[in-house]
Amino acid sequence: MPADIRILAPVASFADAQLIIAAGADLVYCGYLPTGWGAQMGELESISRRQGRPAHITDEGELAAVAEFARSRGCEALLTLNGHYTPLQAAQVLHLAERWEQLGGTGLMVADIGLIATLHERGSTLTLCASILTGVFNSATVHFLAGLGATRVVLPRELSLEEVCLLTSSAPVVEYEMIVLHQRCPFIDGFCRFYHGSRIPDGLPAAFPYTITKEGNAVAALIDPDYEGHGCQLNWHTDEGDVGLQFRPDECEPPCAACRLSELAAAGVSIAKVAGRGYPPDLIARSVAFLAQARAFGHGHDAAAMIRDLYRETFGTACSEHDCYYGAPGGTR
Amino acid sequence: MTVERAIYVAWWAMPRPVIEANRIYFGHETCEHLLPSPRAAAELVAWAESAGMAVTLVTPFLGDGGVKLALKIIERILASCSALEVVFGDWGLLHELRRYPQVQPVLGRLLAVQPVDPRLARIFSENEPATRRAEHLDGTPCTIVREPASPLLKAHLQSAWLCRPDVQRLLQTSFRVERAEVSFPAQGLRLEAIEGWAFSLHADEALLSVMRTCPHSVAQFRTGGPCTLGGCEERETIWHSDQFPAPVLRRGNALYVQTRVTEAAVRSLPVDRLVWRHRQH
Repeated sequence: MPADIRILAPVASFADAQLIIAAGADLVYCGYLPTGWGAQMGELESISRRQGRPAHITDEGELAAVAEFARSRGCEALLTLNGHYTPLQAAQVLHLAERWEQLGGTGLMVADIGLIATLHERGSTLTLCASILTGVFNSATVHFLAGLGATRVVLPRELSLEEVCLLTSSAPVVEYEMIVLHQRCPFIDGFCRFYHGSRIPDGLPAAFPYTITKEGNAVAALIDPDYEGHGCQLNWHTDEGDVGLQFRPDECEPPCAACRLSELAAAGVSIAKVAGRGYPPDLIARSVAFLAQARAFGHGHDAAAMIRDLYRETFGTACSEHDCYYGAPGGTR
Repeated sequence: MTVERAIYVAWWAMPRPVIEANRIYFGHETCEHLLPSPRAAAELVAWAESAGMAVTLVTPFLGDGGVKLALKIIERILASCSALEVVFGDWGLLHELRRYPQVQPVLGRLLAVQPVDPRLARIFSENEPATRRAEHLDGTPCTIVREPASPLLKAHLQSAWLCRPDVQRLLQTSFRVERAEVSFPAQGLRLEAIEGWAFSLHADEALLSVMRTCPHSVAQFRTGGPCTLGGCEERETIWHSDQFPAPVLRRGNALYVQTRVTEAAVRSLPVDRLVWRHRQH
């Protein structure tokens, strides 16, 4: 019987960490956007592959509190530094990584192989987790990353379970992690160069940072106030018709692999990741509780039925095959 | 600096095109199903060499089977050539290429991780966008204005992680990589190179995004697992959106945007090779 898969979930504050660990998360991950970085580089996806202040902790004291709280609950805490850093950024990012270790953080999500190699050479004790942005589609890439110092690898959304089994059995040299809830995209994360900015829609209330001027007016200043959305969210068409990108809102119909947790565990995956850094903490907490219960149901036809009922109860909609992250149970993917 | 001219050809196109270039690129940048067989690869290499052109094999991201195929292609070519340049889009293939000292690996655009979304260019624009109003979730009505991008942010968006000396040194000393392929984004490009490092610039297109499979039709576009088509011949479609400033070319499983490179821009960069895609007429 494979060991139970552990649940990894995102947090963006100390309060989130309390809520989400209480909901059942075994590991948490977060982003950090220091004030100085934000002032110089804006809030585009430059310190991590996630835009906007709401998705990041912005105070070092709070970052330390998250690390300490996670440790007190026996949970790992990982910091997401999954950008590819230009010469202007590299020294500051290295400093952030080492500061995270000093504050008690246990791991990093990293995509920049130079950063992985440097931290390993400097004797970092952080778990170096090669992010989904590294694009790991074969066992040779796992060996490459392990050689640089990675001890954990996030496999891409686009692998079939059969491919996962082959890959993990050919490279049993790291721990494996896969996304099991939220944010399924038609584009391969590691190879997508559509820029991810912060969108303020017309006609709908939204969350964005603003300040109050001396005159008492609320002003939101953004580097790109006209940002239309991520590439996968835009309305594309060809001469033959619309390109349907099958984008569904995660709040009520998230893509999900809850029915396949046992199979993922049997395939060598030890961590099930909830995507959605910056999502409302209530949604993340419900997602974690859902997965924890799904894990407890085990596997088999009865378990799948109970998990589907639980999905409807948690998210308010019945799931469908379109929502299955790695294919429906018993399917070919 | 003398700039080498390379043309990327569709290896399956017959008859072979008449080309004036120093070098031929062939293979596939984004899809392992569109790599040539070892025999087809060897035939193309023989043709290129008979025409006096150097050869570069281009490879994409690869599953375990794809890594084996790529190595078979390389071994077949090396059976009749003393050396071969290989563009890699997969760290695993680079890992395996350490066993082939006759191969000169070149880091491909899949791994260059450049910001090439053409919308980034408006961050550099002096034009002010129209002010508009929006409501915050807390009910506060706000005025949305543009914050000018700092010089640091602009410099960052024109740069690439490949410009870091530590990255170039790591790739040089541990993996024999001394060249990387890049695109020319709409916001401009700044490159830096240590001793012995060079860049190849793709002059006509930037690689914008990649999918695991092609859409079977315009209506079917979901995150997919492995391709079940087994290799098409790179169908091309133009995507348009009112929300995007440029048309996007979908070629097989990849999206590209057109780019424009000027002579002045190339002269200012440590680029010694320009790559164009051959267009069938």
